[in-house]
Amino acid sequence: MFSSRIVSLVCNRVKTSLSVGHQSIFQVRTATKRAGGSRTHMKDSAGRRLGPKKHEGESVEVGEIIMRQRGTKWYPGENAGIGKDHTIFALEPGFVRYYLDPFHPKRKFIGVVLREGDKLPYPHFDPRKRRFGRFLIKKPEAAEAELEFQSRKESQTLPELLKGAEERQQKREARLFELKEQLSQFIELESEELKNLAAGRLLQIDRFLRGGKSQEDARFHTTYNHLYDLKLQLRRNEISQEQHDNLSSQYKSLAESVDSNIMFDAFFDLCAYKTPETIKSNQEAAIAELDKLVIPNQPRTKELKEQVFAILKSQDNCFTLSQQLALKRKYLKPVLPEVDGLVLDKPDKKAVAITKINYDTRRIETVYRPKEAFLP
Amino acid sequence: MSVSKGVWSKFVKRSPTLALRNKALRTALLSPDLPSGPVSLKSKASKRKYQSIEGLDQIYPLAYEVLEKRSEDIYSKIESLDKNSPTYAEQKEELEIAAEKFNPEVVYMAEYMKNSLDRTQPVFRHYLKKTWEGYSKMLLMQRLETLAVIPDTLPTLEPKVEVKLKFPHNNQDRWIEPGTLLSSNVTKMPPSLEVIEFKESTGDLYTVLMVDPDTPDLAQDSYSTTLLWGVKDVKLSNTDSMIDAKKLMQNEDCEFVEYLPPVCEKNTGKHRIAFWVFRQDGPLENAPKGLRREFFKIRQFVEDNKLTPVGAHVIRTLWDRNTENVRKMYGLPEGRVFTRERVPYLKN
Repeated sequence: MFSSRIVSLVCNRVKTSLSVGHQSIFQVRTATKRAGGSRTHMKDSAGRRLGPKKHEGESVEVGEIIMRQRGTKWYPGENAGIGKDHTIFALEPGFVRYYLDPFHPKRKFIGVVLREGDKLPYPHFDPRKRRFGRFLIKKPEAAEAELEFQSRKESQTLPELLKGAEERQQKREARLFELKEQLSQFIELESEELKNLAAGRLLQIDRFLRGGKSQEDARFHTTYNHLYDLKLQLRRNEISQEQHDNLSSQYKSLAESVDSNIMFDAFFDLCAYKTPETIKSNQEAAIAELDKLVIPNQPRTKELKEQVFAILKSQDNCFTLSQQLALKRKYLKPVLPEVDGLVLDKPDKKAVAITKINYDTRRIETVYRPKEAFLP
Repeated sequence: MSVSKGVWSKFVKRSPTLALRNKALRTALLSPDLPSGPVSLKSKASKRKYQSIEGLDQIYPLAYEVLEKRSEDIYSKIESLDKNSPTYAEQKEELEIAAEKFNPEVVYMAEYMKNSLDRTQPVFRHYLKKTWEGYSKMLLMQRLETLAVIPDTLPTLEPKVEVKLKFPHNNQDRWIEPGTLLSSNVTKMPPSLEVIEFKESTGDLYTVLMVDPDTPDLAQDSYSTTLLWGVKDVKLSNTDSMIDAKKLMQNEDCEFVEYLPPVCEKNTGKHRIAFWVFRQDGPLENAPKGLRREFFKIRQFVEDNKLTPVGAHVIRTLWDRNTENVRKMYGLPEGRVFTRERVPYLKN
């Protein structure tokens, strides 16, 4: 019994060893090690000298490196920058602080404070602590030279800008001269000084009107600007309080007399002042006259056209440009409608042929219109 | 033929400003189909070519009727509100908005006539607020934060009003975007501000401070804040929202610190000029005339006067070739000149 058990155990062993041997016969063992004796552990390099270069509380100048690292183990905080290899450096001179910021709980920061006792992070809602970092230039010549300094861009653009300003100034002066010449037609002013003031006022109003302000606003702002100038003169002690009061009341009365005598028409030309009521009644009268003058669907003559234009552009009526355009469209249609007498049956020598699409028949039709159908 | 027959065509209890004034637009908006296309079509050919959407002439009046019925219900709810309740005004405004929110005329005006809306109407204020929150408010906050106006002047801001700003330097009126760099010629005269309230406002008092937090402080080798302009007790409402020369000329007591333009010194960098608008509880007491401009403590001032900041604006300026002229204009001494480069070490 016992011996037979031993026999079977031995047999099993032999079997397994045979099967292993059997495997080893058929398996090909390739070379796993390179021939030629090269070494597998050549990966070690010299240390990269990483780590902190400045420690907590050490003083730094602008650009000094505080930390060398691989990746962002540390982030740049207050007054610190980060390089392309994640080197942290100082952006302001001061003292190094290593800190945590509750706004970024997973990050560690390195910052620079300007004063030795300060801690980071600064309170969130407090004003930032900033360094001016510039010196006053005390030498007058050096200061003058610094003021004279022009950047390349400035030196390139300045001449053109100055030229533009000069041109605008010349235009303004020419307009001022023109207005001063025309002024005497509407208002009598005693002195040359008052004339200049009045012309200046008109020039300013003209500019505001061209910019799109209403007449009332243009007048107000012109007065306001002049009074503001006087106030500044008083502030500079160039005039006394009494003089200031006199000048401002003088200007106010001048403004009143100019405004009650002169206004601008739609083409920014000077004309005599008219109250809004007068303008309204004049305009109503003008429209009534136009109604009488222009008979609908009747041929127009050259004289009629000129008459209508004269009424539209008359300074008595003060039609605005948009009003003038609307009235022109109403009373001086370029082509009259196709009514009897304004359409020809047959082509005439002087007739004008007009082709147009008839949407109902989907055909192109030709209509012959006599010359009378058009505005001369 | 108009589809409007119910509450939206009656103006006994509703304001007439809720209706479109232009007759052509109104008929175009309120007719079930458009025989000659919308008013925006100008040429005859395109009008003739226009075809209304199929079935719109049946659906549009139905939809209008449903919306109008809902509005009518809301109006009756407004009438049944308890007038003595402390939240009456609030509830009423909310319901008034809900009642008119989907009125086609109101929607059209809120979209295309933003400059001429009647701001006394809650529904128009609602639409104005929505457009402001969609762009201008975000832009302002972005500029205030990136330029660090907050927290350099005041800790933070939750804008309640829209603040628009313009300078009278030339004959044109142009609103200035927050953060724009302006020349000294532009800022030489006091600006005008528009303060647009989105709540009902009838004669609230406002304070405006204009400060420059970038004035060099050589003793500390740092910067200090200068008060450039101070205006207080300006009465504004939904209908009258401008703070301009006209208003200040009429009420001369409003200006407690006269306007001083920002005149930056050479090489001091770009100066941020912050405008803060505050709503007042009552008349301002701790703001004496001729308050000291230099080393102005804006936070202290706000605390002393119990002001609530409701809006802000910011511009930037720097030294330019005209700055000396502006200095002369205001009788100021010549500006100092600083070194172009900043030193890389602490001065002391």
